[in-house]
Amino acid sequence: MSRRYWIPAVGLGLLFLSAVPTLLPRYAIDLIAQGMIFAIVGMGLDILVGYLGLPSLGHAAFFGLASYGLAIPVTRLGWAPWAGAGVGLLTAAVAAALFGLLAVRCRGVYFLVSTLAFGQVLWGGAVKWTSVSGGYNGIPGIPRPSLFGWSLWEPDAFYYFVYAVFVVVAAMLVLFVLSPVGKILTGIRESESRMRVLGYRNQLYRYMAFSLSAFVTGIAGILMAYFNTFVGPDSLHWSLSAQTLLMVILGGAGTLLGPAGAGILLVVAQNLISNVTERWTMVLGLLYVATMLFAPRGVLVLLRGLLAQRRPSS
Amino acid sequence: MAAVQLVLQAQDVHTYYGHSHVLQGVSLQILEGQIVALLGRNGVGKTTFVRSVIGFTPPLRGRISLFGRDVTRLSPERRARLGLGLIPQGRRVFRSLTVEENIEVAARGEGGTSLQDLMEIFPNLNERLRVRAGKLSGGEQQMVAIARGLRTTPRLLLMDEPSEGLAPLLVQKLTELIRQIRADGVSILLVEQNLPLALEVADFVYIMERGRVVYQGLPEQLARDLQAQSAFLGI
Repeated sequence: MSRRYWIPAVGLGLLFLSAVPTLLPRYAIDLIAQGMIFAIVGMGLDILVGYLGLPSLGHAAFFGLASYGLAIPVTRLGWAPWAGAGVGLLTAAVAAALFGLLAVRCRGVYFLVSTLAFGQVLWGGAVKWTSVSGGYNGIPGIPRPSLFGWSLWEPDAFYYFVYAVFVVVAAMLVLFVLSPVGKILTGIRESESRMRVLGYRNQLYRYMAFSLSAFVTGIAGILMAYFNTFVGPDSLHWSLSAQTLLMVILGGAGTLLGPAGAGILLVVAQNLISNVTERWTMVLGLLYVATMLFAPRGVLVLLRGLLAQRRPSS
Repeated sequence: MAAVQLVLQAQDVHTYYGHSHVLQGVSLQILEGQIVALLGRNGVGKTTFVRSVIGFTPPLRGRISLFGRDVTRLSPERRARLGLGLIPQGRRVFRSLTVEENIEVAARGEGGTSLQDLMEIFPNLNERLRVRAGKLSGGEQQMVAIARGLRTTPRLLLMDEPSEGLAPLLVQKLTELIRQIRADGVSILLVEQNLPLALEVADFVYIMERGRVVYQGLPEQLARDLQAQSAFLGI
């Protein structure tokens, strides 16, 4: 999409998001906050899926690990909420650094299956190891911290906190994909051999991108734990990974903003549709099929194409 | 060692694809500053030889040295870092990157032939720097691939059939370009099917047939040797 369209579009989107607490009722505000948390996961996952062509079906692992990493020291050991956030992020980062050593050796469906297995092992652990994780009951009572004297228990303050994190993460990731490193990742996706001939150690870049992607997902896990003040094994389950992967594909892999927008819209849609029918996953499936039929490269890419058609030149 | 350095020395290289014995003892050498042409029909193992030098299909037997160093067991990326460049067959550009990104990604953060210098060599790419390489014409893509190969500042550049599918006018341009590259101190292995081009620029010529080197000599020699031309090149 030309700058003429997307700069105003992003500006309007951010403006709208910043005005949400003054425009919409409480319920909608919470929904959009949740949507922005998923948008962060979508962008983090897009680094892997869109820029490296590695579809992960285990990203819930890093999401959930960060949540549990926050919840356990805070609720059991009485640590401060911020310290807990640090532990949560560290947990996700360490898990990514270790699992990444193995995962980046796989491609395509092998990558998909190994990440799926990794995620499900952790989910199994969270369900069975009840003394630590609380099993199916999860861990309730996660406190929210204060920031510059504002308590994040205050709903609007929490919304703006999520908004700020979302904007910062989005800006960092946009800069990242526009940087030379982002171009290197695209090069690796297009042709590993060509990049090797240029002297690149592809594995190193893949590892770095995997870790970054997992870390960003961990940030969302921390926000979600604060949001719900609760963490349960669902946050590690593969179905969450699948939903976020669909989010990336629906929005348009390799566009960052597409998955971010899809993250917000799908959370909102899920809640609206759940009021009407219980078959949300079926609706999601239909959406997915329709996208594959009419916009196989994602909705954002479709819009970009339509806008390009309307312009007489090119 | 003598004053003239060997940039590439392949000794009795045997390379296999699975069980098929593709290269059956190829020996070839390139001196510093030389343009060496490797000729032969389709499927005689020219590209396999290039892949062996690059390191994608390492030889099972034999030895490959670059710049006086044995690289037979080195990975492609290590070889590239020693100063080996490749312009692959068939205009392999990064289609979703722009022309500029295609070239700059080759710089790997180091120096090298600057983008400005390259634009003097390829003036018609200059106005297309921000266009995605996938949208360029075939000839332009080939220029991008060559510019990318030069951006790495190779000491030895492997060019795999650069003239394939180019219009005669562009082939003429390519000829000048190859000379210019050599004048900048780069040695070249030119793998070609285009005999006139090879005879025009090369200092030394090898011909391959069924995985072996069957002819080697000076280009003037081959130009006169119509028998060799018809036997090995089908001309």
